[in-house]
Amino acid sequence: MNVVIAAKKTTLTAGAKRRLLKNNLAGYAFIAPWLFGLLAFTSIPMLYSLYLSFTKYDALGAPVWTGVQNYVTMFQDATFWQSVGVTFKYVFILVPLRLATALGVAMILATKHRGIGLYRTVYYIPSLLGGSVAIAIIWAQLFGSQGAINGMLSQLLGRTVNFNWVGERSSALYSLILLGCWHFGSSMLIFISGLKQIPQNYYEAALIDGASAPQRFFRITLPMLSPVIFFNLVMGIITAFKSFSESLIITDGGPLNSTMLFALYIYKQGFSYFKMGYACAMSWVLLMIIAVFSIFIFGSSTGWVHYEE
Amino acid sequence: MKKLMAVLLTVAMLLSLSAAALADEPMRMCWWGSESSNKIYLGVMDMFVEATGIDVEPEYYSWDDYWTKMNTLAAGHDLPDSLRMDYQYIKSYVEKGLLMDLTPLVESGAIDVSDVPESVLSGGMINGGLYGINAGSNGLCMVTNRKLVEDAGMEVPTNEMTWDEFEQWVLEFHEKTGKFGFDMEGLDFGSFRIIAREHGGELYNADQTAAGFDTQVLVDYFASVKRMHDAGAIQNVAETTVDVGKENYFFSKGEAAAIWTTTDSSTTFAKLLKDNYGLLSYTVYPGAAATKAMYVKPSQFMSIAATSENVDAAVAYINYWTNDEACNLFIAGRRGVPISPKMADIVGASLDDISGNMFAYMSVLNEYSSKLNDPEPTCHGELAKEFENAQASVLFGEATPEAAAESFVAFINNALNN
Amino acid sequence: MKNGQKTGRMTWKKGLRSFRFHFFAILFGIIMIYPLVWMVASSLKPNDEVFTTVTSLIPSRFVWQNYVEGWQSTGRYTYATYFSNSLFIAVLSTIGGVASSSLVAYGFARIPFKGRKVFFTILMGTMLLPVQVLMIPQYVIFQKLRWINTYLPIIVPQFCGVPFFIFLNMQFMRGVPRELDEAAEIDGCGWLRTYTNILLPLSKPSLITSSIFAFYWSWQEFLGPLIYLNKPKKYTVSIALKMFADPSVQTNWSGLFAMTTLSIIPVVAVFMFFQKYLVEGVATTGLKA
Repeated sequence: MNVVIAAKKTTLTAGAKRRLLKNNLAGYAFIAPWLFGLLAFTSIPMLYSLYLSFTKYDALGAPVWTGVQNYVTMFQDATFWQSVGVTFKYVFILVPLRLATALGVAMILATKHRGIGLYRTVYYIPSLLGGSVAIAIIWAQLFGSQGAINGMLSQLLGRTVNFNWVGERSSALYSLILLGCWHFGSSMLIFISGLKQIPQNYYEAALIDGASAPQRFFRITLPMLSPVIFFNLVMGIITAFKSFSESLIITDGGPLNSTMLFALYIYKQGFSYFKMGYACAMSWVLLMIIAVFSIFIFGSSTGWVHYEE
Repeated sequence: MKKLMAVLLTVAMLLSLSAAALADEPMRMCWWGSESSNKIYLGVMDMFVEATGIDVEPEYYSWDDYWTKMNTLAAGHDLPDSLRMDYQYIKSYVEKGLLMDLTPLVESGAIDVSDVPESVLSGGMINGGLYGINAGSNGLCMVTNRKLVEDAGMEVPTNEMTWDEFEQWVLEFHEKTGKFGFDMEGLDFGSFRIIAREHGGELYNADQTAAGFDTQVLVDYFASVKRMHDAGAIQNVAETTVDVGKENYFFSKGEAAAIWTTTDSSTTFAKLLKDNYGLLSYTVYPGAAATKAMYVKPSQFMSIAATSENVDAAVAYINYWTNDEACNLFIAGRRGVPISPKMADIVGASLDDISGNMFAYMSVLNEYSSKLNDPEPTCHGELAKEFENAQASVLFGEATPEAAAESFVAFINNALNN
Repeated sequence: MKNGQKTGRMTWKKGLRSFRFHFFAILFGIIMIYPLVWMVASSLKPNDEVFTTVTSLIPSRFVWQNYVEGWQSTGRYTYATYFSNSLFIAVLSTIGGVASSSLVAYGFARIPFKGRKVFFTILMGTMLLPVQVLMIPQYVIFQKLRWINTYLPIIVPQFCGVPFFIFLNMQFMRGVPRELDEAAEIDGCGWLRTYTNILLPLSKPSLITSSIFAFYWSWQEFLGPLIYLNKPKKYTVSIALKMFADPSVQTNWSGLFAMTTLSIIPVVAVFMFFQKYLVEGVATTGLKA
């Protein structure tokens, strides 16, 4: 094996060698800003948080080494397990739903129409109101027992419906998923940009060949957009796993922890309850979970993501 | 070219910014508060600067953010000279050596609390030292919507009402009016403390190693709440999931007859109900009178950081807040009843109906109060949340009162020993 | 004659399609914008009416005073201070974040250097931890640098590239046909020239998208300003907005909504300005196909 590489190396011409060196230099030069930031601002805090995960640390005094105690506690902590379950449900329903909505709306709003900029803005605005207290009030008001949704249902069904959609265990999480889905604006914007980057002449050529609309979608749009879909999928999963501000503001993890997202539980342990060591340990478990999914998606990407290379 | 310009400009601006950070060091003072509280503190600060000539640099954040910020500053050994502490967190700060022991300053007379009763000062005593001066006294109360109750042909609760009478009263009010007899937003771990004290217990035992109440007390309490809940005499537990402010409580909307709250919040309810319903009726919690189970506690503490190099200024501020007449008239009891009896009298005489009503209740409260144990352990916040969950699990029908009480007590014991 | 009829039918058909588009776009738009409308309406109501007339979108009387009083804040510093602070941070962060991320993205997307995969994995890894657990050690680093109470800890890291934008720009660059790079290379362009002449102009959609996000994120960024800024003079809008709500006293809801409404105006303006440039890329036409 080594011999083969060595042999291969020796066969490289001087020019190719110089080229390799030049590539390496250029590569590091381009990523230098990020590399600097990583070394100066990110790497130490990350490693430190890993260290803290093996300590008892309340953020006020010095951390006390406790070995794997935090990890052991975690596996015995019923709320931790519940939050993992809640988070999986949240992620796996929300991400596909939001992605599909964003793509659908983006396809429509990437067209040329009068006032298209205004529509885009209007559809993007909910994402700007994300975690504000106004949303909490509106959600409680729309989905509460006396809310507008029940008003409509009562009209439709002809009998009084006073089910508290945000307040009951069976439905609270779904009302948050709906809220997350309603924030499709960011993904939509990225899809619109992606659609705009597809060269128009591809479509013109396809039209000349007599391709139907679905054919054009599956043969041109989908493959050409696949790097962007891939991006939105990966980032969608990462953000969904890490999201907590909506559930913090609206339900505060309740009722009975049925909306206790993993990241919210981390936040509460670290900030409300001053268990920073425990919060760090859970954060690293979260990192592992997301990493596993990311690796899986990256692995699958060679099969469906189409790059121009 | 344009980009280069932009970058250069940026660098220049950033440099000028960091240069500006170095200047003379005034006293740093920190508090939590909303816009309206900030106006109180800033007003006091201006008066204080005017009166003493001491330079003050204020910092203020909302309640949640305040603790995030203080913890970060503590980690950076950079706590402000003068800071506010809450009953729930002061113990953790003291145990980490972050606050200054004020005992020598009180003994030398530097901090003037000569006419403040020992019992009021003792709130700030932790492990034998004095780490905070009470900024005003606060207590719990049951407020009742007088008009709703009288319209139903019933009488408002008295201080001597027992728990059983209370349950009957709530049920009866609901039967007569269809409205809620009680708003369960006030049913939390803090109010359960009174019930524990009614039965000779406390939330925690003296050395905070285990629950300080009999499990049966909690079982009975859960069972009683469940009876009222299932009868529809208090709101459905699902209605309490989302809390977006007192404005949305059933009590504030005139749909519930009574609520448990703190004295400082009670004036908010009075203002919310003012136009439609007369003044509120204040009483102690049902069952608390016979055993003096109520308590008066510091609304917040004024503390000094152990690292402070501006101790004299911070001391002067504590004195000003505690003893200055103009200052206390300006605060007007909005941070609780002044700890100096002299100031309390002066302020009490100057108040409007709403605050006056609350001030009058404070002296009643004193009669039915007894000493409070040490400040809460660090895990109190987590236990309070778990209590809500336990209560909700009973009301949602997920657990029996017995099972919920038992697992909650186990949770407390486990948390206190970790 | 026949032709005329055909075009007539086509314009009619086109008109119908356009009508259908606008009909559904507006219908859907109403659902999307309802919360904003609700908030604006509430910002104009008298404070005690916000919750008593919660379903009504028309205030009984218009209280513009909410805006005046909200703007005054505590009186010491008004929202004018907070807005200019936020704007300063957001503009610099956007420039820094977008420019550096594009550079870094090019390095990862196009240059086959040694260690590329490892560093890309690390780049993705840095996005996975909740920022909250990194906060305290980060604070200590910036404190050692004597950067506390300046905007440096908030802005400078942006100049080091933002993983989200790096990844985003990479994905767009990887969609640009390789032939273009190769053609540039044949013309004697080095990596830098290929970047500035080919990839940078062609990744305009992702630059626009990054700018919109960068501005919004730094505008609403809260944790950084909270822990790094001490003096109220330096506070941002995001910190000031949090001080409306108070658990113990009555909250000035209409003031809160008034200032929240104002606070999203810059973000909406940036969005509207930038999205106009999201048009078909023309440069690639005629190259492939």
